[in-house]
Amino acid sequence: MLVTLLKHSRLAFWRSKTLTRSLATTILTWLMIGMMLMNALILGVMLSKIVSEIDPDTDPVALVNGLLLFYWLFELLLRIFFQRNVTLNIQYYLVQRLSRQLLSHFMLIKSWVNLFLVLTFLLFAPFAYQSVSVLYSPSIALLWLGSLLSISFFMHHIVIAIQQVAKDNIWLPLIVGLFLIALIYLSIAGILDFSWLDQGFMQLIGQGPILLIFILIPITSLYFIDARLLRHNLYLDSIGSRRIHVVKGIGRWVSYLNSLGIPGQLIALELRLIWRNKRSRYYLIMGAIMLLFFTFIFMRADETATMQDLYMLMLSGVIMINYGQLLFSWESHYFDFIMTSNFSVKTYLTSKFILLLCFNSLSTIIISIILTFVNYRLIPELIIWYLLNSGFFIFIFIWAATLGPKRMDANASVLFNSEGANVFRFLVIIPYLLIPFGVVYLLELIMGKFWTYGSLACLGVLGIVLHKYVLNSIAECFNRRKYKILNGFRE
Amino acid sequence: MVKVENLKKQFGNITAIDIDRLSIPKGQKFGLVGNNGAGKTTLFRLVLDLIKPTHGEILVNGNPVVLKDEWKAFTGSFLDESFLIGFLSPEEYFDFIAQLQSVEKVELDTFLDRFNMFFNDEVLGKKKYIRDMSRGNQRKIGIVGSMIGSPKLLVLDEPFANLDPSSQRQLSLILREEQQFHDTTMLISSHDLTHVTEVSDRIVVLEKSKIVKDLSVGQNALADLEMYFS
Repeated sequence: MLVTLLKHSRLAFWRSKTLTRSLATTILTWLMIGMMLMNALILGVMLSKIVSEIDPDTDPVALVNGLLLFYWLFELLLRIFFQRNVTLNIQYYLVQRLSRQLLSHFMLIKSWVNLFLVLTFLLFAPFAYQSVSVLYSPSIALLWLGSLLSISFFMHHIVIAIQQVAKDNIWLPLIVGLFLIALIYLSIAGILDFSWLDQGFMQLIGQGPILLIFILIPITSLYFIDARLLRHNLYLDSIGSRRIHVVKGIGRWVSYLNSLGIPGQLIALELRLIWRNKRSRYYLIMGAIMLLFFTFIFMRADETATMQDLYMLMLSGVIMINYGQLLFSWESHYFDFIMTSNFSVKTYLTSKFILLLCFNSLSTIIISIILTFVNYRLIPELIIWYLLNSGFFIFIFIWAATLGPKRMDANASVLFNSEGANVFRFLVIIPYLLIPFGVVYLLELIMGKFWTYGSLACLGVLGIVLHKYVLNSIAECFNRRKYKILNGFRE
Repeated sequence: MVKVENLKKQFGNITAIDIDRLSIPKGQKFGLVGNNGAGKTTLFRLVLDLIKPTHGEILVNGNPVVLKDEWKAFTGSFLDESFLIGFLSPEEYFDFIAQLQSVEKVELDTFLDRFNMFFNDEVLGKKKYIRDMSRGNQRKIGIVGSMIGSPKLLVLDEPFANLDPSSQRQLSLILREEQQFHDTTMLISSHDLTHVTEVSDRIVVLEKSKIVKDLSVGQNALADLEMYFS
């Protein structure tokens, strides 16, 4: 029976909407997966070389071991926020004649096929072969790689346990995440010293398979703990969203916005959407945390100007990037209502423009308050990036939203969920990287810093002033794709 | 009020709607019946400009609907859950529609008072989000929402489904009253032949995308329909 269930999940993968919708999306998806795996493999192959260039005198294995702790912390951090919830798409098995025990084992075994394990293998297998086996012995190399993989495995099961204990509560993963970020920061800053861990790691491996056995015992026990947690959580109200909530008010704000005519009412509606749905609320909170974290760490005077440009561009638009990537999709569940209600597409787009503009202004105000203390010289540049975000990128986000948005549940389990994601929208990030690194650099060579920033600011101001005209042409784009968008939301 | 000419809608090779001519005059109570997959919802979606016709034209109040906004000002509709905003409470949802239709708060309250019986004390003042309510109550909210602002055209897909027997009776009464007071043109689809004959003065039967029967409701309409479907 377990085999049949696993076969189902294989079918679910190959017949998934991302892979069957259109040839272009399929090719793009595979291309991106392939590129990521290739990059990991290339990095893995180059690892011995990179390490020997960093410090030719030290033992490369010791150096890599020294970096492992960071790798694990990062992996755990990523897993906490992106590892897929194993209970997704299991509802239809619940009423069949399948025991809970079987289902919990099925979910765990199915979850073993995951990207993090593959990445660990691609990154470190070449290094084990090229360096560890040469400097030590092939058997040590195997043990070394085996230990890395089992540690990744261990983290996999820890995160499942966290997910099962946390359920819908985003605070537990958030606190664990913040704790990990703090650990990473403290060890980068040299306040905490973990070097004893690396040496201990290699010594243990030198003892033979003791370490592996040492890790296997907690993995096995974690597996059974996970299975037990899953068995107890296999109820619709734990894996679905059938819980009843009391209405949360955001009162006065909304009544003020309501007085601003239909765009104001639409914004009020969207603010309610953000606040009352798990996923959107989480995006907002994540945006705020990123804002504070990055501003404090990277805006100090000793960072390079290009990097600071990039950070300021991204941070002054951080909520727009987070929330705007899924624009329209947030409302996919009632989009028929939007399209039959008494307002035009242009009014609808105007409300989106004002909302994103408010988001940008809010994050810019927060950053500039922090900058006053950290590095006040950056404030003029920050304002230029804010203008560019609000008079240029804002339209790109709204326009990109018309390119085949997908249906998603704004209230679905917050974490570990990529529903609604779309390749096109992901590509919007590219101009973000191109502007500070490419265009600004080139322009500065041609006409100097003053005029470069001057013209960027002008572009932004022009965009804001002429927003009606730009929104008109985006509305035309929208109308051209209207039925496609609506159809996408019904699938 | 609604005019359809040479209308055809295809999804790939499958024809979902194929209607040469259909004219629904102002104030008519138009009932649409047909088996699953006959094309009822597709026709309503076409009228509401939610899908694009492959061929042909739909005119509402003399104007084409495709990519236009004028019809929205006097059209109320409820087809399915995608017309409900799940994270609002029913009161907030009604307020929102009232604002869009420029209906004053006092007017809205008087309007909602009419539905106290229909809501059976399970909808208003419950401090619950629409998404947490039962199917039947969600449907009630959608139907009442579509009637805010006394629209001249009302499009309802299966309004009687998921409702308990007494709510079905009340709904039938509500719809007849609405038509009487505001001369509303109503497009109502249903599987429930008894109710649809109660609220319509004309019934069209769709089968496999085509109109196969067009009856004006008289004494024998229900018997006729029952005959047809058996």
